This record gives sequence, C-alpha cells and structure tokens, in this order.
Amino acid sequence: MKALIIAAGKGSRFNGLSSKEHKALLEVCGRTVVERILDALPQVDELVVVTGYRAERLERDLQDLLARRVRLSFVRIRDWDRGNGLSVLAARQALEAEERFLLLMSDHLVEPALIRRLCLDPPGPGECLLAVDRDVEGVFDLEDATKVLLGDERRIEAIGKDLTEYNALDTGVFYCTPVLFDALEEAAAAGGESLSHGIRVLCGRRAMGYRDVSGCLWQDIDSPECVAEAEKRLWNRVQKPRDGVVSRLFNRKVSGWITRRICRLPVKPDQVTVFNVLLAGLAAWLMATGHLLSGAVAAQLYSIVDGVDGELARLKNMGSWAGGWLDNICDRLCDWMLIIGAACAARFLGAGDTFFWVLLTAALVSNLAYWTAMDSLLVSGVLRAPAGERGDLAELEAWFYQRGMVFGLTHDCYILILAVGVASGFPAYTLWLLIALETLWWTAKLSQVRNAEPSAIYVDYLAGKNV
Amino acid sequence: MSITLPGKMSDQPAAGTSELRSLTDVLERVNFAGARSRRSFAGQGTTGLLGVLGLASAALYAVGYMPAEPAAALLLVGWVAATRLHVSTSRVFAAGTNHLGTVALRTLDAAILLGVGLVFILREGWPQTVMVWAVADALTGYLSYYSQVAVLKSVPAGMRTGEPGTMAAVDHLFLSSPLLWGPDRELVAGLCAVGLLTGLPEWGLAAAVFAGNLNWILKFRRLWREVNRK
Repeated sequence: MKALIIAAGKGSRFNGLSSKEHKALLEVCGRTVVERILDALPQVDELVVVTGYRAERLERDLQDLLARRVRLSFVRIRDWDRGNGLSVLAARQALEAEERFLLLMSDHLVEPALIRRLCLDPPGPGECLLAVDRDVEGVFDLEDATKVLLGDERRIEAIGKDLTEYNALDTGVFYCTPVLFDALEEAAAAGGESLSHGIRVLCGRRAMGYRDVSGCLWQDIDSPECVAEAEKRLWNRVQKPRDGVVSRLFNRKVSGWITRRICRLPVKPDQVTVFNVLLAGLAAWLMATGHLLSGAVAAQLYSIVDGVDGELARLKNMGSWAGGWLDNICDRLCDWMLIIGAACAARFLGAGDTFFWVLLTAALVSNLAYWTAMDSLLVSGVLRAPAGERGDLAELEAWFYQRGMVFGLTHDCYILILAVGVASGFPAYTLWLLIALETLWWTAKLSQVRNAEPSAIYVDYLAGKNV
Repeated sequence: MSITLPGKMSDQPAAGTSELRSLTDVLERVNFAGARSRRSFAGQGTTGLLGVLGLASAALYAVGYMPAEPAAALLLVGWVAATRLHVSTSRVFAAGTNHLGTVALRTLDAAILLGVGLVFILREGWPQTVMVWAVADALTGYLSYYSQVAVLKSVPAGMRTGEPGTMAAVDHLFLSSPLLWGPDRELVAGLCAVGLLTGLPEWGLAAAVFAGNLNWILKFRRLWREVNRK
C-alpha cells in the first residue's frame, strides 16, 4: 500500500523554528515526527511526499532519514502557501491507480495503534475514511483543532475548524480511495483549496465515513508547547502498566529520569543492554574483591539501568523481538555474575573453599530452578485454570496487580535483597535467604497451575495438526 | 468460570501481528515438517536403561568399586539419554507439560554437572579450575535452553493475550522445532564425558563450554536472520 504525506507548508505558527528546519523533521523524544509517522505504517511500501517550502532540502533530509526503510517519491509544488487540498491534488497522478491509500499530515504525530485501528475496516469503493477522536476534552489545543460532527451510519456530517456543533476531532489521518481527488477538484473549482473543503464535498455525497480511534495517541505539532505535550504523552504511553514493587516505588523513577535524558542521544536500546552487562560485571568484581558497599551500589544501579533499555525501545519505537530476546539472555547472565560475585564476597570474608563452592552451587541451581519454573508457565500454550483453585496467593497477587505491581520475588526485588545483604556484610546469609525465597516462590507458583489445562484454542490447534 | 493465568511477560513494545506471523512462517518454512504423532516416540523409553547404568556407576563409585572419571562420564551420558524422551514429548505436546518435570530436568542438568565438579575437587582433590569449568558448563547448558525460552518470553504481553490463535501456533511450532531444539544437552554432556574418559577432563569441560555456547549463538543468528529476511 502507498501512503501520502503532505509536507509542503512553512509551519509559520511554529515560533523558534529556524528557516532551515521543517516541522516534519522536529525531534520528539529523540525521533523525528516523520520517522514516527513511518513507524506507524508497517504495511506501507511506498511513501509519496508532497513538498513545497524549501523542498530541495526537505527532500534530501527525508531521503537520508527514510530511504533505507521505504520507497520514497516526491511531488513538488510551487504554490505551497495555498490550501493543503491543492497539495493532495498534486499527488493525483502518483496515487490514482491505487485502490486505497493512506493520507497523513507531516506535522501530526500518530502511534501505530491508531493506524491499525483505522485499517481494520477499509473504505468501500467511492468512499473515504477519517480517523476521529471523540475525546474532545483531552485534546491539547482545542481552538486550533479541526472539529468534526459525526452522523449516523458512521458518516461525517460536517468538518471544519470553526464548527460550533461537533462531537469529535480530526486526527489528520485518512484512509482514502481516489474519489478524494474528484472531490478536491470539485471544491477547488468552487474556490475551496483546503482538504476540509474536499472532505465537505464527500460529506455532501454521504461518501465520507469515519473510524473512532479514541484512546490512541495523536498530536498536532504546531508549536514548541505541542512538542512538549507530545513528549509528555509519549512518555506516559511507554510506562509499563505493572512492575515489581521495587521497580514501581523506586527504580522506575530513576530509570525514567535517565531515559528521558539519553533518548535525545544516538543511543540504541541494545547498547544499553550490553552496557548493563558490563555494569553487572563491575558490581560482581567489586563484591568479589571485598568492596562490598560499592559492589552493592553498582548492583542496584544495574537493576535501575535494567529498565532503561525497555523504556528507550518503547519511547523511540526501536523495540524488536531480537532485542527483547537479548535483554532476557543478558538478565540471566547478569544474575549469575552477581551470584558469583556475592559468593566470592563470602569467601573474601573468610569462608572456606568447601563452603564457597557448596554455596555457589546451591545459589546457581536454585536460580536456574526458579527461572525454569517461572518461564515454563509462559512457554506452555495459553493456559487456563479453574478460578476457584487459585487460592490466597492469587488474591494477594491480584491486590498488587490492581495497584500496578507484581507481587513476588521479581527480578528487581531479588537484586535489592542481594545488594542490601552484601552491603551489610552478610553475603552468604543473603544467598541462603534468596535460595529459600526462590524455592518457596516457584513451588507456590507451580502449585497454582497444578490443575491447569491448555486453552481450547491450543487444543484445537493441536487437533488440526493431528498431534 | 476460568481465568487466563498471568505471568511475567515481556515489556517490549508490541510487535505487529506481522512480526508474530513472520516468526510462524519462518518456523514453518525452516523447521516444521508436520507435527509428529505420539507414536513417533515409541521405543525411545529404552534409553532409560542408560539412565539406570549411570545411576549404577555413581553408586559403584560411592562404594569404591569404580574410578571417578568413568563413573561421572556414565552418569552424565546416562542422565541425558534417559531424559531425552521427556524433553521430546514436552516439546511436541507443549501445553499441559508437567512443569515440575521440566524444572527437575533443567535443574538436575546443572546440578549433576556441578555435583560432579564438587566431587572431583572435594573428594578427589582435583584443582579448583575443574569446578570453574563445571560451573561454566552448567550455565552453558542452561543458556542453551534459556535462549530458546527467551524467544517466547519476548513475545509482547499484548500479543500473547490478544492473538491467542497465532500464539498457539507460534508456541507449538517453536517448541517442536528441530532448528531450535537440537542436541544441546547431548553436546555439553557428551563433550564433558569424552574429556573424562580420555583423561583430559579440563579439556573436555572447556570444549563443552565453547561448543555449547557457539551452538546456541549460531542457531539464533540463523533464526533472527530468517525472521528479518524480507
């Protein structure tokens, strides 16, 4: 599918924008608006961009930014200071043969979920769709927003910035068929040069539908205040709904502070992951060489930075499956380094060889058992268990869940206990305590699922494969 | 009334359905030549005899009738051989797996290697470097397993709960995939055993660490290349 982005305007309302800059190239949390738009369009294989103001430079910058990810073509217009409907009309030749295409504004930040929701139900022949947001009160700059009056049968009745009666807002994302060009021509012939004029023509023909994308993130980037608001909303968006208790109450506050600062640097999440392995290695080395307090501080710092890679990946749309995989592997490597460091600290404090090796063996075996048990719950199809058999533990878990926390010996709690124990000068007792807690926790979790069965979907799948 | 069990799920940004499907396609294309039936495993129970042999050799060593090296080698090989059936069946019939069995298997894999190391340094008086290699071997073996688990663990939570149909396919294809689940345990245990039997225990343990890690790293390099291939 093709997508059309109109980027011909000057952005004159944006105070402080230098003559060389373009709104599409503004960075929001370390990623340009146009990159974020492309992040939201995984199904698009060609991007048609209409340029006008400082077209040559913009086209060169867009080539540098996007050409590796998508096929780019440009339509340059001279009358860039006229209505944006003429910009869309200029791309007619490039898009007329398409059955459907997406139309976006170069200064509208959108998230992938919005596009996914819009594309779930494509427009019929001779129809266009607009993604609308019914949360009118939630918009940042209502005065400047384009208002929409929604009618019955998912049709738009009216659209415009000056509407007095409206019940939704225009997000600036359209799912179109070439009928849009006829409507724009008709509007232009009558003196209406904006996109809204063309949409009104379609409204008059009852050919302008809408899809409700309320709850999805979108933001018009019209001013520095809009950028700040967009960054705030993006940050709220990437927060995990649930975390371990230590993470929720402490780690995330510090890791968030770090993430919001390094997101503007050319740092990739995988690099943070690798850095964190080095940090855990340093913590282990400090513990092993008797620097217990600094080792413990480094271990807790590792636990904090452990949240940064995920936050950065979510904030900059740089997450990947392979990245998540690497993060998981590195977590285990770091755990083992810290366990070895703590056991060496016990040896440094006078434990004999036999005690050291037995302690290390027990701590490692216990850690492996814990993670095998916890992860085997995930790698076993979509399990369903009778609700009545969950017991008190599940009620306790639910209580924490409702408060955005995960109850139990989560990774953040494990590292904090280890760090506090080592800093207090009791590494061996701490490891024994952790062995006991791990064993208690995984046996309790497995007892929760002793009567669990695979979901019907999984059973059907196996039956279909004749397994 | 029933509930979907929660778990510690990935905090990665939601991959698109297309990414999930592309993994399914890769697994279909590269690995999956039709699901095996339960009958495919008939007869594999006889490997359990090797397990008995391993246990017997450990007992003979304990009462002083067998030297340490061959006893340890037989214990390692016997354990891996005897438990192959459990690994195979739990992979193919993924859901409804006996979780406790999986925990016991993976934990004992490491515990036996570490236990052998402990016996060698504490009872046989071998240098402590043997135990260092044994620790590295135990963690290598676990990492081979965990690197596979981590793929499914990295599936974003929203995808796992929102796309149960596709997830069922991914779970199953993944767990029954010969590409991913090669002879990892056999490689580590086998090389350790060869080292012990040939009188070069440290070389054998070291070779197991290098080969075991190289094995899973190369395997996943191939998998991620396949997933990213357009």
